[in-house]
Amino acid sequence: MSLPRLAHQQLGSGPEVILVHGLGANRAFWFGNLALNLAADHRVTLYDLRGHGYSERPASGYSVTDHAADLLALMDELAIPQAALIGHSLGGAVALELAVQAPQRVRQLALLDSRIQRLQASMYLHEVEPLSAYEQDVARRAGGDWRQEPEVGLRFIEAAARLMLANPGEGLRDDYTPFGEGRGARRAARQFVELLERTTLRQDFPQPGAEPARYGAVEMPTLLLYAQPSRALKSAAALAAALPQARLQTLAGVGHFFPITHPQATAEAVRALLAR
Amino acid sequence: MPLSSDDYTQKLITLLEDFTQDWDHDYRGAMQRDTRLFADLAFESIDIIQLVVAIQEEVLRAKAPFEKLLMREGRYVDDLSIGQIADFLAVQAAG
Repeated sequence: MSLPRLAHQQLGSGPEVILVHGLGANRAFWFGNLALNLAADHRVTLYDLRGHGYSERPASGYSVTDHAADLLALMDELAIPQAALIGHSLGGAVALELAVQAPQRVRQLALLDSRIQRLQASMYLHEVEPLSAYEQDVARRAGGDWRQEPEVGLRFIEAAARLMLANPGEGLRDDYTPFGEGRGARRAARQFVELLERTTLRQDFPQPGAEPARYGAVEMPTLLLYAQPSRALKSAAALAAALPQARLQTLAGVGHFFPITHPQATAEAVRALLAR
Repeated sequence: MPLSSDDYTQKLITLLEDFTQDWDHDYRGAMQRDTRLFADLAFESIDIIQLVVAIQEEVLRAKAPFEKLLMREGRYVDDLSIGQIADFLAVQAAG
C-alpha cells in the first residue's frame, strides 16, 4: 500500500523531537506554543496526520497502526533515526503504537491526555462532570442521547464541525475551540466532515492498536501528562502500570486541550522528560 | 541587490492567488498590500503555517524567523496584511 504525502516542517536544531496532533486538528496546534519553545534547542518536526491539515486524504487507513506506519515512513524520509515523540490525544496513541512497533526509533515518549482504545474501549461525555459551558452548548444543540454515545471523542468533534457548518457564528466558544474562530473555521470544519464522509475513518478510529502484552518493549523514558479530571484517566492508570519507565503527571483544573490553554505547564513537563 | 517590499508584495500576491484558488472565501477584489489574510482571505492558523512553508520554499528560498511576525506574547497575531509580510521579507533579505 502506498503511503500518503504528509505535510510537514522542521524548526530549530538539536536533538530530534516530533509532535503529533490529535483528531480533527493539525500541526498549527503545536506551532505557536510547544514547537517554538522546544525549537530553541531541539530540531522539532511537525506534520499533519493523513486526512488532516495539508496532508493527503486517502480513502482508508485511519487506525493508529496506519498512522504509526505513516510516521515511521516520515522519519525514514527525513532521515531521523531516533526521536522523542510527543503526542496529544489521538497523537499520543499514534506515538505509543510506533514505540511498540519500533522502540529503537523512540528516545522518549510523551502521551498528553491520550485515550488508548486497547485499554479503554469506550469513553462517554459524562465521565467528567460538570461539563464546560461549551460542551453543554454543543451537546444541547446537536441533540441526541449523549449518555449512550461510547465514542465521545469522535462524536463530539463531529458535532462541533457540523454545527459550525450549519450555523456559523452561533454557539459558545471555549478556551480552545475545535476548528478555530474565524471565517476559515468553516473550511476546517468542512474538511473534517468530508474526512468522515469520504473515508473509512469512522470504522478505523475504534480499531485497537498493539496488545498490551507488547508494552514491555516501550522501555524509553515516558511521560503520561493528563488533565485532572480527564475522560482518559483510565488509559493513564493502565499505561502507568504497564510501561516500564512511565511517570504519570496530572494538571489540575485544566481541560483536554491543555497544550494550547496551559502551554507553560506543558512545556515544563515535556522538557523534564527530554532531560531524562 | 535585495528585493524591495514592493517586489515581495507582487510575489506574495502571485503565490496567494494560487494558494487560495480552491477556497470559497467571498473576497472578490484584487489582492493588494492591505489585503488581510484572516479578515479578507479567511485564513486559519494552519493556512498561515503552510503559507510560511511555501514562502520559504518558493519566494525566499531560505528559512526565516517567521515566529517574530506570527506571534505576539505567545498567541497568533489577530491578522496580517500582505504588506506586513512583504516588509518582513524585505528586512530579512537585506540581512
